Amino acid sequence: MENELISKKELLELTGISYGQLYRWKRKNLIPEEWFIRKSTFTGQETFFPKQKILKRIDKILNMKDHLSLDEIAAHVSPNPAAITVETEQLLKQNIVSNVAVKLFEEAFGKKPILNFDELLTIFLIDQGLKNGSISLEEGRLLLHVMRDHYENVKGKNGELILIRKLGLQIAMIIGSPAELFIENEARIAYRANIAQSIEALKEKLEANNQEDGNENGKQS
Amino acid sequence: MTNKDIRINGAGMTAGGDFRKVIIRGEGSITTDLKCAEFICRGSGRAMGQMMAENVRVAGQANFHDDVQAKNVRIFGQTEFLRNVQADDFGIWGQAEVQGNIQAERVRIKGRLTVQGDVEAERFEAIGAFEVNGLLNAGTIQISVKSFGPSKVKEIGGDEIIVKRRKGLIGLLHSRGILNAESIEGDEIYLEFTKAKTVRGTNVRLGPGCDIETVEYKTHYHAHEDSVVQKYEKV
Repeated sequence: MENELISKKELLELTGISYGQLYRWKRKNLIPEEWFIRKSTFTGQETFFPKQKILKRIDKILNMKDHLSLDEIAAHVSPNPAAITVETEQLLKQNIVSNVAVKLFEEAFGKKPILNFDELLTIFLIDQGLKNGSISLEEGRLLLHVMRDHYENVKGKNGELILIRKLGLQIAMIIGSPAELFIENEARIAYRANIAQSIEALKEKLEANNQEDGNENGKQS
Repeated sequence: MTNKDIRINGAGMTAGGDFRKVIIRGEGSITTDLKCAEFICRGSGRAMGQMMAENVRVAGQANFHDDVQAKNVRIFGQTEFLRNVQADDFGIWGQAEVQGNIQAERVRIKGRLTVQGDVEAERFEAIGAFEVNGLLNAGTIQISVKSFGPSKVKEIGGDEIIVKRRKGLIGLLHSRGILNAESIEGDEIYLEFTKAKTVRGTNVRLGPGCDIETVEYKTHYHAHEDSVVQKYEKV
């Protein structure tokens, strides 16, 4: 049943969308090229689609198209993880990050229904710290701001997100990696996360969730 | 962006890089990737690497060996793109051949265009002859068939598809322009002088001179008496 195909005609009948919509979504990369399978039939060439995948995708598009632009939906369903965006609501439902971390982010930067990958990464990093108890909410806020202001500098390279405490004072920082860090004895590194490793962990988490969905995101290179 | 220019007058060959204006007047080749605000070719030019430009204008003859990405592409002469073209506005007054695909906001053909791959655009307007061997997928498609000879597209898909025959300068001479396609699918379709295997759409109207094997429509269908339709059905 996995490989069951559906003809274009049947698809339009079943979903009630028009040819114009189907072609528009293809142009906007909402439906990947590989799903258009051309086959010869007695009436000439016909286009078929993998049934499960296309029905799921169309359902998703129809649900999102009222409150999102086609470009936003395209970014959302993109196979490229760096271009991935996630609905905040979905994020919480799938338990990728905790409610507390999202709240913290929203308090600092405002509510966003859709998060891009960098924003998601920021929340994920802070969430890790909060979960293992190494940072407080107030310190999480510091990390949020340092990520926003300076992450750009280490993006694409490797870096580390660090929080240092000394006598009730906290300093958040991002350093390029590999780097050695030596601090005075009274100070303590409360939190230290390798950003590249966190990106991988986050991607894996997203992919695992997508596969549960039966959804192909992130699988295609 | 830098403020350096490249000017080739006579014959020359140079490496690419980041430039403001690149002007070829004689015969010139750019051997590696080129990024520039303006690429103007008035003689015979060759770009062997990728091209990223604000404006590309070819008045003579040019070959692009790799992908071209530009805001505006204007072809007045003869141009061959060996790979893909991505542009906001792609205009052809001369003659162009694209071996790969075209992705554009708007494609305007007033000369002649041949594409081996697919064309994707929000607007596609053609007056004159063209050939697309893959899928022509555009929001609005307006094709004027003229006496330049037949145009050919394998598949057409879009929101609004209009094919009309435009009279030549001498109205008395019978225009022979015609469009050949395997399949045409869209929401609003109006066709004249079109030969196709299948036409599928919400509203399908056929003007004179059509020869269609099968029409499938959802809401509305009408055919001119001078058109031949073998089979039509409401689906």
